[in-house]
Amino acid sequence: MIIHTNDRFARHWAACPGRGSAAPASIAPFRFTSRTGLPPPHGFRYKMNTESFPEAIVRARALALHFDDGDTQALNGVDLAIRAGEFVAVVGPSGCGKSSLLNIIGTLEAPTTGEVFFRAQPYSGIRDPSRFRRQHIGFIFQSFNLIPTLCALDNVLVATIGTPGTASEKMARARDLLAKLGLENRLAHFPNKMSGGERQRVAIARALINSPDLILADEPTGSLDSANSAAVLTLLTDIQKERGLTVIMATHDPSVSARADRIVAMRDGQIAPSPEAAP
Amino acid sequence: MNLLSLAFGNIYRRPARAGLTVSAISLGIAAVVALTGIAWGFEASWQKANDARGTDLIVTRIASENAMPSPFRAERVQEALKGYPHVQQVVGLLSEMLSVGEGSPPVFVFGWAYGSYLWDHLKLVDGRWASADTEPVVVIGSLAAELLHKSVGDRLEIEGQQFSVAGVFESPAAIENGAVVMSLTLAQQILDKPGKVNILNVKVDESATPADLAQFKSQVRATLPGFVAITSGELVGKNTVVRISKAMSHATILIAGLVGALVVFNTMLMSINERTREIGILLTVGWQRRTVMQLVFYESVILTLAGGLIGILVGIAITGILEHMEVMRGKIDAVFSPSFLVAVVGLSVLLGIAGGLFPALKAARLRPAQALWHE
Amino acid sequence: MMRRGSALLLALVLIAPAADGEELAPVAIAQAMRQVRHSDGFAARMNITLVAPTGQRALPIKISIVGQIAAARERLVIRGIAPERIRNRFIAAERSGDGPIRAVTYRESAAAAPAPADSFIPIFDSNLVVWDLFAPWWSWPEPHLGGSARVGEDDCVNVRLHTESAASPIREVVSCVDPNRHLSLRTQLFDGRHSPVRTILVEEAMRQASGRVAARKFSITGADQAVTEIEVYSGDEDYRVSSGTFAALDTPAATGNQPDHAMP
Repeated sequence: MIIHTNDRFARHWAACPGRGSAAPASIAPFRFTSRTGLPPPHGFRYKMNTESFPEAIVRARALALHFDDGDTQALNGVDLAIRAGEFVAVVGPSGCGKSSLLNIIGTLEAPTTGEVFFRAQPYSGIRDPSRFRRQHIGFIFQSFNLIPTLCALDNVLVATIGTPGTASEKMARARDLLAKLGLENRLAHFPNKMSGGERQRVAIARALINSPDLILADEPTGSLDSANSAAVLTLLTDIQKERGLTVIMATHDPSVSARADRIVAMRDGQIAPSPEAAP
Repeated sequence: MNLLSLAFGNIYRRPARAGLTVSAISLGIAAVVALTGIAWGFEASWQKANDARGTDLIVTRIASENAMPSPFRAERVQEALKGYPHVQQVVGLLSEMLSVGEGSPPVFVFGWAYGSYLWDHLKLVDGRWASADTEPVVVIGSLAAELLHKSVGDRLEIEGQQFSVAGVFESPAAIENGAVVMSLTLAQQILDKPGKVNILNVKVDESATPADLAQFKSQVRATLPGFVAITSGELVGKNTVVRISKAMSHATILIAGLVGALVVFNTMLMSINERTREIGILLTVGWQRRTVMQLVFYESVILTLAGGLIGILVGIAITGILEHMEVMRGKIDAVFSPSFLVAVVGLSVLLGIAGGLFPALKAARLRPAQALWHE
Repeated sequence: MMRRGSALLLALVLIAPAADGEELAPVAIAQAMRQVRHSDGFAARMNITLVAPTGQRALPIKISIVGQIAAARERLVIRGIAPERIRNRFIAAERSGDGPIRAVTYRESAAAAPAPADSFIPIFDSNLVVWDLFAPWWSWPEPHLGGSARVGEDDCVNVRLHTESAASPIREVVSCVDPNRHLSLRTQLFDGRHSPVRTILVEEAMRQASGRVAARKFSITGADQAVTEIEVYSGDEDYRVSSGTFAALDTPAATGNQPDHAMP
C-alpha cells in the first residue's frame, strides 16, 4: 500500500502562500556530476537523463554546511541525486559529513548554501518542515532514539500525534506494523526491557508508521551485534522492496553498505570520486 | 496515545517533582481561597445583618475610615427623615467594639432603639427580652454566650456598669450572633453618648420602588449636609474590615499568582532541559512546533489545575478549621460561591499558561538536529 | 451645631492644619498645634496597659477623657471606668489662657468635696500625666527647629521648646511633628538637668470623621523604662458638654486650693 505522496506534496506546495495553485514548472535542467567533474560513481546503474531527471526523488545541489562562522566545514559542495525506490548507502569515515547530509535531506538542518529538491521542489520553499517530515520522511538512528518512558506501541504511536485518522485506526496500523516486524509480543515493553535489535525494529516501525517516501537511516546497525545487524538490514531491504521506498543509509561498515543498490562515498565533506576510494 | 495522555505520562514519571510543584501551587491557591472566602464572608455577614434587620436604607455621617461611622446626634436628622415619602420607621443604632469582662476578646455591643423593628428578626432561644427601655439588662447572641461563658441570669460588666443577661438569641447574621445587644438608651448612657447614634436605619413601605430609594438618597444629599443615605450593600462596601480583608485577599491572589507561575516556570523549564533530546525526537518524527508547545502547556496546566483543585479543598478545610477555633469563633463566616471557585480554577489554568509560556517557547525553538545529540 | 472636633484625646495627639511649607516656621507650628486642640467638646475612651521594666504586663484599665478646649480656657475630666478600684474616680483639671494648671480629684459616689491634686501625678499609676494632656509646651516662648527625624515609617520635624520656669519639673520638650499629617509622632520631655523624663510615641494613627489625624495607639516610656501602652477604643469628636461635666472645678472646696505647680 503506497500512498501517492507526489499528490500530497503538490497539495502542500499549493497551500503555501504566495505560490498560487500551480506547482512551479520544471526546475532548471540538472546535470548529474560530482563536484570533481568526474563521471558518475561506480554502481550508478540507471540511465542518466541530462535534460531532466524525473525519477530523482531527492537532489542535492552544491550543498555546504559550515559551523563556527565557517571554521568547520561539515559539507563542502555536495551534489547528489537519489532515484525513487533506490537504496543508497552513504559511506565514509566518521566526520566525513554523512550525518550532516542526512540531516539536511531530512530537513533537520538547513544548509549554509546550496539547495535540496524533493521531487523537483526546493526545500527553501517548504513552509512547514515538520509537516514535510511527517508526510515524506522516516528516520532511523544508530542510538534508536526511542522515548524511554513510552512502551513500544506508544513509541510508534507518538509519531502519529497530529496526523489525520482516528485513534483506533492509528492503533491498528501500529500493531500491524510491529507484528510485521516480529514484535507482536513486545507491544507493552519499554525500551530498557528490549534488546538492541528489538529497539531498532521499534524505531523502524516508528519511521514507517506515517507511510513515508524516504527513509533516512543514520548508522542503523551501529549499535547492534552482527546477527541483529543482519536481521535489521534484511528487514529494511525487504520493506524497501515491498513498499518501493527510497532509503538513504549512512554507514561506515562495508558489510552493511554492500546491501545497497548504490554506494556514495564521502570524504571531508565532499562526495569522493568512487566508493572504492573510501576506506 | 494522544497529546493529553502523553502529558499525563510525562508528569507521572517524575512524581516527586510533580508532587512538590502541585503542593506549592495548592498552598498558594489554598491561601487565596481561604482569604478570599473570609473576605467575602465578612461582607456577606454584614450584608446579611443589614438584610435581616429589614433595613432598606442607612443614613449616616459622610463616611470616615472608622470601622463604623462616627456617632452623631440623631434627633434633628431623624425627625427630618420621618417626613420623607414612603418612610415607615427611622431607627437609631449605636455600636461599639468593647471588651466585656477581663480577658475576653472584644465583642460588638449594639444599642437598638427599644421596641423598633430591628429586634424583630432575632429569635429568642433562652430567657426573655428587656421589659423596658431602661431596664439594665442585655440579650446576647448564642455565639457570644459561648465565647463569654455567659447564660441567662449571669452578670456582665460593660464599660464599668453591671448588666444582667436577660436572654440569648440567634440571628441569621454571624456578626449579631457574636454580639451583645441592649436598648439604644442604655448604650448611649454607658458610652456617654446621649442622643447619639452611628447610623439611622430606615424602613420604607412596600410600595417604594428603587426609584423612590434613589429619590430618598438625593433628598438626603440636598437637605441634610454632611449626611449620606446609602443602601446596606454600599455601607458594607465602605466598611474598613471588609475593605482590608478584601485588599488582603487581592494581595494574596497577586502573590500566590506570581509564586505559582514561577514554580510552574521552574518545573517546566527543568523538565524541558531534561527532555531536550526527547523533544528533538518528537520534532524529528514530524511533530509541529505548536504541538510541542501544546504538550508543554498541557503539562503545566495539568500541574496547576491539580494544584488548584487540591488548593480549593485545602483552602476550604483551613477556613473550616479557623471557623472552629476558639479565638476566631463568630468572627469569620467564609463564603465560597461557585463562581468564585470556578474563577480559582480559571486562575490555576492561567498560572499554568503563564508559567509554561517560556518553557514552551524554548522547547518549540529547539533545533531537532542539535536536540538529538543532547545528553 | 458645627463645633470643631478636637484631636480626640490628648494634647499628645497634635494636628496642625495642612500647611504647605510656609508654616514650617517653629512659631507657626507651635501656634498651629495650640490652635488645633480647640474643641467645644470631645470624649475618648482608652485601654491602658502598664508594662514593667521587667516586661511584666498588668491587667489593662479603662478610662475616659472628656474635654473642652478654647484659647481662654481648657478643661478636662478623666474618669476611671474599670476595674472596680478605679471606677468613677475622677480627676478634673483646668487652665486659663497660658496660666497654671489646676487639678482636683473626687469620687462621684462619695459626698466628699473635690480635693486639690498635683497636675504632675501619674493618672492611675500610669505614665499618663494630667499636665501632658494640656501640652503647655506649645505656649512656651521661642520654639525652634531641631532638624528632621524619622519615627517608625514617617518623617517628622523636631521642634525644641523650653521654659525657664524653675517651678516646672519639665523644662524642655522635643516634639517631632509629621509635616504632612501634622501629628506629633514623638514627644520627649526633659527636666532641668536635660535628663529625659518621659517619651510619648505614637504607634498608630487614624483619620477621624472631621478629617483630622489622631493617635489610636501610643506609648509613654518613663525614665525607669516602665512603659504605658494606650489604645483608644472609642472616640467622640462632638461630645456634648453639659453644665455638670466640669462642675467639680467650680465647687467652693476646690477653688480655695492652690495648684502644686504654678506655671509662669
